[in-house]
Parts: sequence; structure tokens; C-alpha cells
Amino acid sequence: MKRASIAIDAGIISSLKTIVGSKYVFDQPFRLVGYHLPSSSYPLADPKTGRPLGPGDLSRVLVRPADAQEISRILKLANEVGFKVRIRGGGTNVIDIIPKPNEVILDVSRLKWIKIQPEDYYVEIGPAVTPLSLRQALWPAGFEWLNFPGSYRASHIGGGISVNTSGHGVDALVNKPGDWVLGLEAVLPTGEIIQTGSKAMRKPAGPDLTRLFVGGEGLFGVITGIRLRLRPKLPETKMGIAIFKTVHDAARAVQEIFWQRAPYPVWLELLDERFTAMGFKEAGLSDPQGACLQIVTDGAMPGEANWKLESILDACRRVSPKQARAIDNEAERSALVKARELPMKVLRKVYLGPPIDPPLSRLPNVIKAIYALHKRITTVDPSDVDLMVFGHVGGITIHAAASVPRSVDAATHWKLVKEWLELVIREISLKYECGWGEQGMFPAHMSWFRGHYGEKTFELLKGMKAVFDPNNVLNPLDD
Amino acid sequence: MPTGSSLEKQIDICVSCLTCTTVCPVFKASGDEATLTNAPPGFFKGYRYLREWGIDQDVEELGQSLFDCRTCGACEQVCSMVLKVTSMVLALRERYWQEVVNKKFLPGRLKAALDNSNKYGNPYGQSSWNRNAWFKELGTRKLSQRSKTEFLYFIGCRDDEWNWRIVGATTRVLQKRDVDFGTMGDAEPCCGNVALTLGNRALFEWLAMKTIQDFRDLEVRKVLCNSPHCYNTLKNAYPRLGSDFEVQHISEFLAGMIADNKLRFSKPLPKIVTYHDPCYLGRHSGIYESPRMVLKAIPDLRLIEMEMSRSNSLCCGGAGLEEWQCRDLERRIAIRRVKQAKATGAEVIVTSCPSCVKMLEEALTTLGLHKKITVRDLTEIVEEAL
Repeated sequence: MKRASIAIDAGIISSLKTIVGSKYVFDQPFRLVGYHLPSSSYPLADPKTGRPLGPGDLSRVLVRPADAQEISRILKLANEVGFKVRIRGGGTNVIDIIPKPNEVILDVSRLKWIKIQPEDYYVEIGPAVTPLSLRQALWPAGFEWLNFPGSYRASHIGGGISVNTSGHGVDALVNKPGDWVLGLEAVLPTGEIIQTGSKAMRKPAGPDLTRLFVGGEGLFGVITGIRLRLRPKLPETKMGIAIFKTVHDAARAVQEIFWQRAPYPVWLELLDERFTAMGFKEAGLSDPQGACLQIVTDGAMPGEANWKLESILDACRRVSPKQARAIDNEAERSALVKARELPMKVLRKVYLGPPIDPPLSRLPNVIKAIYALHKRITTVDPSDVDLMVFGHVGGITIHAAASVPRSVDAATHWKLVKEWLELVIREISLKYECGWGEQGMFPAHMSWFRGHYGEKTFELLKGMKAVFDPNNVLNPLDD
Repeated sequence: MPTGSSLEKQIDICVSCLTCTTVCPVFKASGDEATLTNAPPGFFKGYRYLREWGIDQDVEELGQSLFDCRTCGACEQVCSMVLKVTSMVLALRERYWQEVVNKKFLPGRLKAALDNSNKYGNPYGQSSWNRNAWFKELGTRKLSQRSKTEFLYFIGCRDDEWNWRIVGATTRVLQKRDVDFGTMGDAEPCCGNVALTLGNRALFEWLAMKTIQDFRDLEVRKVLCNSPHCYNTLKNAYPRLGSDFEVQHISEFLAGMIADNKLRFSKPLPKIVTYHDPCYLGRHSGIYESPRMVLKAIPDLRLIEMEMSRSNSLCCGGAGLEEWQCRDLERRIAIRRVKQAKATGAEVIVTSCPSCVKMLEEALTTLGLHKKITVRDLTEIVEEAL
């Protein structure tokens, strides 16, 4: 039977200080506020009700252990005393994980070592290593890390693996981050430290507990060490662009790329007409008056990246693009990358929307349905909401970003975010059998999990959680 | 600069993407003991909510974080929402000064800097009587109603060995090239940069108005500065107060002379150097190329860029406030920068700011590298090559 949770008190804080040292325990409200904020422009609010949060709604303490042993002691204490523990990675998630007053925030940011073992073709890292720092460490050794989310500077690979989020890479070529995991060290919610996988290049046959922690969202344990298979850095990349009259044509071109059996790109981004116009303008490029596909290919052999790119552009040409060409000018290439990033900085409040991963055959219809759905917004006048469809269509993930003027008050913005999230999940993701290819689900996005997999599966998951975490101590599953 | 409720609006625009924490020198140097409050999103949001909730128990923590910020502007280069973070920091410091400081706390020795500015007209609280003797030795003219020159060479309030080294080199270079310049000697006022940076706007405006009047009395039309902090203040903050003189940083001036064929180097300097971009010259004033142009004009000098340079440059930790801020934190930041310089294989770190020269030199000494790598102001290198 689950133990009732208790409030964090001075005694618990003192015990935590004994475990990790006083300087790694933070309990001043000023220092803690930042660890409760959603990556959004709406203020601190209860994710379920939108009620503005007060100081009494915050977690009372953040603890920053040095290693698995200290984490183990914290979790054993949590089971013994009865408080909850919420794992904190890079803090770049775009779902609302707001630690509660009865939860200790377990910040793993001190676990950030990198040990490259080229002779065994793997690298071992702490979960707090960022994609950027891993790439910087691997390049001189001739290796590459390609699972890059937009937050590649600040997010933790441990978090990326825990959520198994793809970032912007093309899954078919780059794979999910979890696909590169050869083994893990993890601390179970009850405090035991376990190892999974092996140092061999081949992943284990038979039961492999690694898979529980990859995408486990911290329900079954805290990842404290990661062994990743290395991937050689390919010497050549090439960029191309295709402009279409409409986003619907661009979506058809994405289908053609796969249906024509074109080689996989590393990166394939779709920007709708509005996104393209704004992005190109911000990057100092002229508006091409249409929707855009940005393509990046790589190659091990001279000319390979170019051949891949031309094959992809040929597939695009079947949909009569306004232009489809390679980018040979470095300045234009940089500007196009900027064009992809900049519209997020528009002078409006933007909600990126949940990931929508349609089956390939349904991509154009899903995009049409998103535009139609826009009219059903009730929180504000739909004409005040700008909709931009964009995404990592090599994945395939698309986002339906809804933005409103900055003058819209915080409570209304929060309501709109929740309305749009649930509308998209119910009317698009579930109706069109879409997957959920990035970001996390628990606890804020469980409606997709329950709707897509069903209540039986959800109950099964809760049962698995109870086996690993009988007191529901770690990243507690409430519903 | 955002004021009143517009500061709250700017704070709410921040989406806490935390990208700024990855380039923030203070956050990085604070290491494993840093919390988000050591970087802009944390202290902005912390302030916003504590104020909304009426909690002031952590006001010292807020003050420490807010005044630890180097206002280096690195965060602005990567901000997802294109926020003008430095302006927000200055606005929050101003707010802090108005709302909190008299009741509670101003970190470290920062209060002394402001008290000195108030009492003595300069943040160091030093007498300027010895300046006349110095300038006499250097053979520099002192401006007066009867003695006017084309340029006023504004040397700044710093009265330390680093600034005097740079002032000496600059003076000799200008003299060798027959530039018509003079100084105000012991009558030079403080530009008010320290008060401005610490958010005491009233004190800044008082100092600035006095300086503008002094310049008017001497009919100053053109000002030359070594310090990027004075330069930024005179150039960017003064016009709103009615200043009407032209301001040039010495690196711009020297680059202009090279472009006009008025400055050529006869002596080769076969050295490998790397250039450190001061934050207030680079990111805040957009001057990246002038110092490089000067260095590239010196025969046999080889310029190698550091891992982080130009708009991506790493702060030296000084921020022009090194006398009064947390020295340990400053040193950790400077050490990071010096390690980047060392990685280039350079024998000389050249920069163009007295504060940076001091910070980098001290960091080299801390690392025991001072015999292998030296720090030179741009003017010192120019003097050497003439």
C-alpha cells in the first residue's frame, strides 16, 4: 500500500545536507522559483487548473547530488521518511512539470563527465552532458552526436534519453537517442543501483532493462550514467532548399521523398507560408512567397552528400516546386538556418503546440485538419490567433504553433494553451492515429497516452511503476 | 531601458529556455554551486514572484545575484526571445536601488563605490592631485579656457598601475603622431559609468550633467577614451542628457589613422597574439574590427582568434567593477578566459580595456603563466611597433 506523502520539513532538509553537503542543498524561495517555471511565456500556474501559484505551492528544497551513491541515499531516505522526489535535468522541457511542496527537486546537473573509449567504440557520459558539449568532445576524436533538440545548448542528454525525444534529426537516419544507448547505470526508486547492457558494441538479446529507462520519464529510476555507441563524423554535408506554392504541396513533397525511395537526409524541416515569410524576413532574405523545405544531407564519400541531396530534390520536383536547389553559399546557408529559428522570436506569445507525428500517408490531411481546427478555438477570437505549421518532417513531427498578441493577459494565454493542447490531441493526434515523437508525456500530457494506448495500458504502466516504486516516491504518478 | 511595469512585461516574455545560462560567465564560473538565480532567468523570475508574493526574506540573495551579473551581454547573443537583457538588468538594479537598498543590502563593496562617487566625484575615492604631475612628466597639455585642443583625451577615474601604463603608451603614441590633444588633468570629472551600471540613475545623472557642463566650458568637441566603459557611457548614455560632442575609442582612432595612411609601423613584431574583445567595446558598442585592423597592420605579428571571440567573446570578469565585486568569482571567470587564450598558443593577449588588462594579467599570475604569456593593451603594442 502506498505510503502517504509528508511535507518537507527542516529535519528532512538537514538529512539531505548530511548526504550531499550543505552547499548543494538550496532552500531559499528566491533560488527555487526558477526551478518551477514552465518554458512558456505564461506565468507560474497550476498545470491542471491555471490557478496562479503562491510561495506555498513550491517545493521547499532542491538537492544536487554528486553521484549515484548520493542519489541512492536520498531515495532510501525518501522511502523511509515518506517524501517525494522529482528529477530535474536541464530544465528545458516544454511541458509543465512543476515540483510540488511535498517533492524534493533532485537536480542531476553535477553528473556531467565524458569518457570516450574509441577502442571499444563507445562513450560514457553523465546524464547532465548537453548535446552541444558531447558534440564538441567527440569531434576532435572523429565522432558525432546527431540527436539535436532545439535546446541543444542547455538540455541534458540524460533528459533526452529519459524522454527518448528525437530533436530535429531524421529518425530513420539518426535514430532516437535511446537507440544509441548500449547500457545505463540507474538508481531505482528504492535506492538500489543497477547496471544495464554491456560494454559490447552489440546490444543485448533477450530482456534488457535499458529499455525501461529509455523513454521511462523517470518513472522507474534515475539515470546516472549512460554508455553510448559512437558514430563516425561524416566529412561532408550539403544543404538544399525547396519552395512550394503551399504547405500542402510541401507536405506532398515529403511523401514523395520517402515514396521515391530517396536517401534519408539528416535534417528535413518544413515551414509553412507564414513561418517562411517571417523567418526569411528576419534572416534578411527575400520572402519566396510559399512554403519551404530545408534539407541537409551527409556523406562519407566525396560527392555522396550531393548525390543524396539531388535525389531528394528530384523527389521534390515531382510536386512542381517554385524552386528546388542546392545551397552552395555559406552566407545563404547560415541565413536559412536563422530563418528556421527566428520566427519563434516574434513579438507575440507563442505556444509551440504538442508534437504531432502523423503516418506518412496522412501528412497532407493532418495539416489541412490543423488549419481547420484553428477556427474552433473559443478562449479568444480565432482571428487573434496566428497559426504557424512547421516541423521536423523527416521524423515525422509537425507542430501547430499558436500565437497571440502580447496584450493577451496571462490567465487567458494559459487557457488558450490548454485548449489548443487538448484540441490538437483529441481532434488531430488521436483521430489521425498520430504518434508522440518528442517532448515528454508525464504528467502533463497523459491524455494522449491514455487516449492512444487505452486505460488498460495506462493501468499496466501504473502497475509496473508500483513494482519498481512501491511507495510512488520518484516522479510520482498521480492519476 | 525598460521602466515601471514594462520591466515586468519584459520578464514575462522570457520563456525560461535557459539558453542564456550556457553562455553566462557568472553562471559558468559559479560551477556546481550555481542555481538559476546566478543567471538572468532565475534572478528576473525570482524577483518577479517574490515581489508579487510580498516576500522579502531573500532580498540579499536577490541583490547578490543581480549585482554579480557582469552586464557582459553574452546572453543577448543567444536569447530565444531577443530580450535586451543588459537593459533589463540595469532597470532591475535601478528598481532594487529604489525599493530595497536603503532598507536592506547592497552587496560587497559596491556601496563604497557609490558613496565615493557621491562624496569625491569618483568611485575610487582617490584624490586626483597627482595627475597633474604625471601629465607634466608625459608632456601633456592641460585643457583650459585659454588652451584648447582638437581632442580631449579622457583617461577615466582609475588610478592604478594598469591604467597609467595604458595612459602612458597612449600619450606617447598620440604625441609621436602629432595628434592635437590635451587632458583635463586633476579636473577630469567621472563619467558616471559605475553609478549607471549599478542602477543609481540619480547619481549617474548628477555626475553626467557635471561632466557635460565641464566639457561645454572647455568647448570640447571630440573625446578619445581607452576605457570601453567610459566610452560606452559617454557615447551611448550621454546623448539623452544633451551631450553634443563626438566620442571615439582609441582603437577606432588608430584604425582610422591607418586607413588614412597617417599611421604606419616600421618595426616588425614577430609575435603570436590573440585579441580579447572587451564586452563594452565589442558586444555593447559593436567595435570588433578596429583593433584587429590595427594589429593586422603590424609587420610580422600573427593574430590567432580564441575559441570565443567577437560577439561570442567571454567576459574577463571585471565589468569595470572589479574593485568592488566578488573577487573570487571574478578570478574564476578570468581564469576561464586565460585558458582559452593559452589554447591558441599565443604569447601575448592583446585587449583594449584597462579593466580587462588587469583581470587577465592577474589570472595569468594565478595560473603561473605570467612568464610565458603577457597581456598588453592595444596602445602598448602600437607603441612597441612604432
